[in-house]
Formats: sequence, C-alpha cells, structure tokens
Amino acid sequence: MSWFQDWQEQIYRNFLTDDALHLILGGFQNTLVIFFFGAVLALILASFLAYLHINHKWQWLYRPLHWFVATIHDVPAVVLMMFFYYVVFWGALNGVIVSIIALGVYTTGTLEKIFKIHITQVGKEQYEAGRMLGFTPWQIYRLIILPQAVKSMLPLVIGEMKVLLRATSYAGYIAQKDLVKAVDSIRVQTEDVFLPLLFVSLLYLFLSWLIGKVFHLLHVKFFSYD
Amino acid sequence: MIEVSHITKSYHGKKALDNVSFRLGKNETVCIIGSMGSGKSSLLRCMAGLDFPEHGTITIDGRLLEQKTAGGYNHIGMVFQNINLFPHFNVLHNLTLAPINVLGMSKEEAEEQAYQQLQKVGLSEKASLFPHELSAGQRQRVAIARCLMMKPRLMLFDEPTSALDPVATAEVMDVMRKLKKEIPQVVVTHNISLVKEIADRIVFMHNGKVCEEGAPAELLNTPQQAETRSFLSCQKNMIYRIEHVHFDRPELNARIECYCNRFGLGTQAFHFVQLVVEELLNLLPLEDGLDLVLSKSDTEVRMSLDVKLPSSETMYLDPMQAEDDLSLSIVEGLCEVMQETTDEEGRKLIHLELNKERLLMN
Repeated sequence: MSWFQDWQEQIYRNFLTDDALHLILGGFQNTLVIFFFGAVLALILASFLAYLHINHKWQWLYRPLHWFVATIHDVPAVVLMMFFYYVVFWGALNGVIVSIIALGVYTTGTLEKIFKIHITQVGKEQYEAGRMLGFTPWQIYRLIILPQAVKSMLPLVIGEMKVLLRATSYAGYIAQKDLVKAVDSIRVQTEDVFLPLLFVSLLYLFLSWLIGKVFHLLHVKFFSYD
Repeated sequence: MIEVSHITKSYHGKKALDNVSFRLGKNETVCIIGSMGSGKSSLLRCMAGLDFPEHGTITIDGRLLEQKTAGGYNHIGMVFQNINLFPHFNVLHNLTLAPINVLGMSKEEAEEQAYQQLQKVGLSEKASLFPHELSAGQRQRVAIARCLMMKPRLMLFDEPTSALDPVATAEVMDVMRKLKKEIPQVVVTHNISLVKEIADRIVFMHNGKVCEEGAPAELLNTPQQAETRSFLSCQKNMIYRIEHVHFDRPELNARIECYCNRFGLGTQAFHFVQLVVEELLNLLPLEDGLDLVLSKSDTEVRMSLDVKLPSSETMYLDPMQAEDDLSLSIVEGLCEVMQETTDEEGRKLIHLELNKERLLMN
C-alpha cells in the first residue's frame, strides 16, 4: 500500500465515517454555540457594568457586581465551569448552557476592565455636551460614549474573543461534546493521534483568524470615521 | 428674563462663586470677563444646570432652573471651549440626534431643520462631513447650529473663540453677531474684540464676585475698580517681570508669540519683536529685575516696548556707555523711536517704538 493510500484511509477512518462525522459536526456546533452566546453574554454584561460604573446613582449595585466578576476572573476557567456545573446548578442544567454562563461571566471580568478604561477616556466633555442637549444618562452612554469607546477598544476585545474561543475547549470537562472532546473520542476509537490533533489545531487557528477578520470588517464599516 | 440671584458655589472647600447676582433682559448679550479662576466658567456651568449652586437661585422667565441629572432639556444651549461635537457622527447626524431622540421630532423634519440651521451658519454644503474634516471655526459653527436645533431660550458660550485662530474667530463672531438679535446670550471670554463687538453689557468678575458691570464703552474705557483696570491693562498689553539673570527665556518668547498671534501678526513680525526684546535685554542689567511691557495699538500698526528698571546713573542706550555695541546698533536699526528717561521715583524708563514696516511682514 502506497503512503498516499495510507493517508486516504486514515482521513476516511478519522473524519469521514458516519460516527466520526457525527461527532465532529456535533462538537463543532457546540463549540460555536458556546462561543457565540458566551461572547454576547460577556459583551452585554461588560457594557452594563461599565454603564453602572460611570453612573454615581448606581454605585451600590456596581460595587458588588464588579467585585464578583473580578474575583471570578482569578479562578481558572475550567475550575469555574466545573464549579458552575456541579455545585451551582447541581448538574441539573444542560452543559452547553452552563458553559455559556460560566465562560460569559469569566470573560466579563476582563472585558469590564477594558470597557471601563476606554469609556473613561472618552471624556467628561462629551458627557456634558449630551447632558446639555437633554439626553438621559442611558442615551448618552448608548449613543455618544459607547460608540466612541468601542472604536478604541476593538483590538483588545478581539483578543478577549480569541481567549474565549480557546476556553470553549474546557466544555469537555463537564461532559459536553465540544470540538476537542469529539476529536479526542475519534483518537480513542481509531488510535490515531497526529491527524485528529492536527485537524483540531487548524480548525481553531482558522476560527481565530475568522474572528479577527470579522471584527476588522466591523471596524472598517462602522468605526473608521477619522 | 433670566435672573441669577445670590448664588454661591464652592469646589473642594474653595469658594468659586460668592453671592453672585445679575439679570439678563430679552435678547440681551452679556459678556463675562475676568482673570483665570475668577469664577466665570463656574457661573456659566451653574446657569447651564451642569453644576448646582449651594445657595441662591437661577430663574428663566420666572421658572426655577434645576440641576440636570436625569436628562430632559432645559431650553439652554451651551457652546463649549473644546467644541465637543460627536466625532463618530457626521455634521447632519450631530444636528439631528438630539431633536429626534429628545424632542421626538421625525427624521425628515429634523433633517429639514438641520439644513436651515446649517444655512444660517454658512455650512449647508458640509452636512455629510465628519467633524475632523472641518476647520476649528467650522466645527464651532456646527456646535452653535446643534444648539439652535433645540430652540433654546438662552445661549451660553464658554470661551468660544479661545481655541481658534484669527480667521476662525472672525467666522464664529459673525455667527454670534447674527444670533444677537434672536436669543439672549451669556458669553464668557478673554477676547476683548469679541466683547466690544457683541456685548450689550459687560460683567467683570474677580475672586468669585461681580466686581463691576456696565455698558461696554463705559467699562472698557473708564473702569471704576482697580481690579478691572488691572485686568484690562493685562489684556491690552503683554506685561512680563524679569526677576534675575537666569529668567525663563522660552516662557518670555512664548508670551511674545501669543501676544503677536492675538493681533494676527505674521511669523516674521513675531521674530522681529523677539529680536528687539532679546537685543535690548543684552544692554540692560538683569540682576535687580525689570518690567517689560509690550503694547500694540488697537487702531493702527504700532507697537511699543517699555522697560522699567531700578534707578541707575548709567544711560544704557548711549553709545558711549552701552555694554554691547552690536546689540545697540541692532536695536537702533529696528526701532523708530528710542527714549531713556527717569520717573519721579528715580526709576529708569526706556521706551521703544518698533519699526512699522517690519511689523507688517508675514
């Protein structure tokens, strides 16, 4: 058997049998779902916390929430995920949902700091200009402050999104079939190591590149006004 | 009618406003002048509702002004020194954002009005541009149009021309002059030309209090209070005290440049003034200190340099006694008049009239 036929057979055995295909597609779907909703949750929570931070009226709520996400961020993501799954929700909630919540809250820890710094940099003057025109604090934040802050913080947010993508690989620890778990199952079944790991590495690299590209296009489309 | 009544405001325990009162009639323009830290901007911020006075009240047409905390438009427009347009929106969007979101105006109506206001400030062609694509003067005019979109009952201007060059200042002054007939204005400024041009009344503030107020002709020409006289003299002239030989030369040069810029003199003219000052200082003893006063005539191209020195027997501008012949001949070549006298107290006074033709150089 030539080396070419050998490779063909390995590829078929690892990725193209019904079982392998089912595992990979299921894992890939779970990884994407956890990443997408985790990112949305983290972005919403971080922008909400940053809004509370600049509003003196809401400091009583901001302080405990900030303390909570800042403390949680110092715990390894995988431990946090297991803690949420086995302790907080007693294994009663779907692992994908728990992964979304745990990774969303975990990423909020860093995103909140990024949002806070960049929102503060926009400056008091813009806030006062908004006040003089009669905007409510929420309108000022949403229409004036946040869009300006997003422009400068986008590169850092992209970095955090890539961290979040890599952290989705921990979902396997709470019995979830994510991409890594799926490839690992194939490795066990076929006893091939190289191809499954090469495949998953390349896929993560591609997804990471794709995230960078999407955010770059967003930046060009909406934030290249000067 | 706007009435500011006995307002007091402190920042970090220091009184910025101390029992300040004044009235503003219908379509009247009041200019507030005063040195830095005199409380002008604090007063404006209280009138805008951005800060709230500890004591006293501000009423607009009999209605008490409340502090702006939870949103809502109080019919006061404010033009800031830093302009503060929203950089992520184009000119049209800057103008329509508040009418749509605060006043509930439809997009079409808001855009129609925006074009009218832009026409008023001469910028209808620039509606699609972003703030960074405009000059400083154009940006400030857009900021005025943005305020006008909200139909204010009072316009406040916080040093509207201080960050602008002479051309941009003239553009903004033109718009403010037109507005004068329509809306009452309160203008905080250091720009005496702007004050002369638009003020119906001037309020001079000193140490958080209204020190003097009156009609422009009266207050600018015959100020009653010593503080007002001193302030106006500093505005008209550049006064610089040299304490010792190692004084801050870059600071003096910067002050001369600012002073020349204020009158729109060119770079060569500024270098010429700087050269005269430098060469004159080479002739004078600096150990005991001296006062330099640079004065530019308002009406003609004429600038004089006066120096006041401690008493001395030496005639510094006499070729026989001068310490540096080269500097003396340069000063002689650059000045039309050179006088050296002594006042009643025995202090030495030097008066130079600078060459007019060189002042006209760009």
